[in-house]
Amino acid sequence: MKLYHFLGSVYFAIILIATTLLFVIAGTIIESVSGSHLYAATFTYSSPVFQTLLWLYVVNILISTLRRYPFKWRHIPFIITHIGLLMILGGVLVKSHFGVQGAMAITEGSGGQHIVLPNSYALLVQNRQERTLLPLQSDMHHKDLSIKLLDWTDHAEEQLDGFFKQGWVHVLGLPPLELNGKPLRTTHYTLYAQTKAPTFPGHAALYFLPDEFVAFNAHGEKHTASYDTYLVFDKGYEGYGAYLPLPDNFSPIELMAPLTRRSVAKTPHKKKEELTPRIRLLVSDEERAEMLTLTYDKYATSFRWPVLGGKYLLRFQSMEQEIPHKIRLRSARQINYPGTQTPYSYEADLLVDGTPATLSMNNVYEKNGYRYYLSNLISAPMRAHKVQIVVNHDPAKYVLTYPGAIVLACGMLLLYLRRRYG
Amino acid sequence: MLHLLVALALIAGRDGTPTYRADVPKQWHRIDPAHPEPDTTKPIVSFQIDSDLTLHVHSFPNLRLPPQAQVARWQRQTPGHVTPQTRGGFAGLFYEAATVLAWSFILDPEHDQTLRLLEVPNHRQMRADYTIKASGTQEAIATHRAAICAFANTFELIDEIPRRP
Repeated sequence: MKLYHFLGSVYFAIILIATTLLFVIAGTIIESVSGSHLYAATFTYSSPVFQTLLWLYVVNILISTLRRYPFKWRHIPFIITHIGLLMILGGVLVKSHFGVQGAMAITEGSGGQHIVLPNSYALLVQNRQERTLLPLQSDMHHKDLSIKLLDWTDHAEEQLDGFFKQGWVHVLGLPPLELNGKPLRTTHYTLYAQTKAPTFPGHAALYFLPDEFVAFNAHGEKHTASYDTYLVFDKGYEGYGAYLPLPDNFSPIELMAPLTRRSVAKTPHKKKEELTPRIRLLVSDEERAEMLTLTYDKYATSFRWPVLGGKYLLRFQSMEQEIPHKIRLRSARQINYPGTQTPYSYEADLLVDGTPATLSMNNVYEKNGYRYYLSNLISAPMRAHKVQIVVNHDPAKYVLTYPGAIVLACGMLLLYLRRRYG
Repeated sequence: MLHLLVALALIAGRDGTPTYRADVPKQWHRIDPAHPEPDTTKPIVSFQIDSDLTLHVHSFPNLRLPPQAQVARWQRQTPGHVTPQTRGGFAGLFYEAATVLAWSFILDPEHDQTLRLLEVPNHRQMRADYTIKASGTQEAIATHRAAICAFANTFELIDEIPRRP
């Protein structure tokens, strides 16, 4: 009984408020020192202790109300105020368990119906029949596949190597070329690996420069390309290759190289949001085992890597969740201040379940309780724009949280009037 | 301000399969080829906007047509102003002169790879570079500029380009 009264007492409420204050102070200090909201949230607002604190508030408010039973008319303002508080707290708890907060990265012309959940880690496992996302754990199983997490590195950078591999240019079917070394003569071209290309070499030549590829045909016509064209062998199950197609007015030659990966561990940033972890896995089925290193792909847009001789494809990425609306990005644009290149706003034209909608930095789109915010636009010369859309859904907002605030305000007004006028 | 009634029009690619769509003012007179037209010098669809103004759409399923090369050809015919634009997964250039409004677009390389990788039905037509060109008198271009730009701004693939799986 003593415990019951204590849990509903002002003293317990003061303890809870003081504890909350300490969490807020700690969170503020951690965030200002680290510059990372995520880092602060891990130790404060997102911690199980803080979640328990919220439930203790519910207990305190509920018991403090029930202690006054049997209720009299004079209790009404107090009860209304506390019901309002319980509704708001209820809204917070419902949102934390059933709410949705994620993001989708879309390129113009494309679309989707899945968001990636922030700060989540999952392993995409795909074979020719199905695609599964496994929450990342130390031991994972999927059908005949066993996956053990051997190692975790907080932050790493992954580099894709195509034609250039450690100072040499590798073209399939040809001897490797050393950077700034001797050229290689073939039937139609002389191949060079060097840091600069001449304006006009006087013969048909291919120059593999570190940042771009430059080709000259026998007529002196020039073609340049970047190294961002890839070949996908058997939908990725046989791996990937770097590829350089030549225009029709150039003599044909196949320029391909296997695509390989290098991952380098880096010093972790203070900002947890910017870390790209790396994992090392032991993947095995009934017949064989293989070790594989994967770097985190936040938006799940990069290659999936074959394992066990191409039986499966794996990718280390964020967890995904389906949303009830189909989003297609038609176009996106940056609006600049007049006469400048300084961005003023971004805008995106979408189709949401086939209905046109325009998002901008100041214009949120809402449908069926789901809110869509335009948070970023990425552009590159002669490339389709990409946008990042943040999706938020609070199922309790209009049922608990907002009505709770109104009820709380009414209760507080009644309390004031009752005290003032008896 | 003149408000035009528009209707969503489907436009076939070079093999006759409906590939594109756009908002077309009802006053425009549409001219389709009698049969699927593989000759890329011929348009996949034309619109007679008025007696002094015609709009042609060309697509190039089997060759890459860099917008810079296309615009350079137009510049030689009529000097004008060039602005980069992107739309619907395509990137290119908008060319504007006194008697010409034209667009030349190529598909983003990432989309090109995705469509080839997934072997999407009709992927050859979807991956095609395209141009939209309206040419006529200076007065006609000025009068119908907004409607022509609106057509070009709504011109897109019917099917969404899938995301890389």
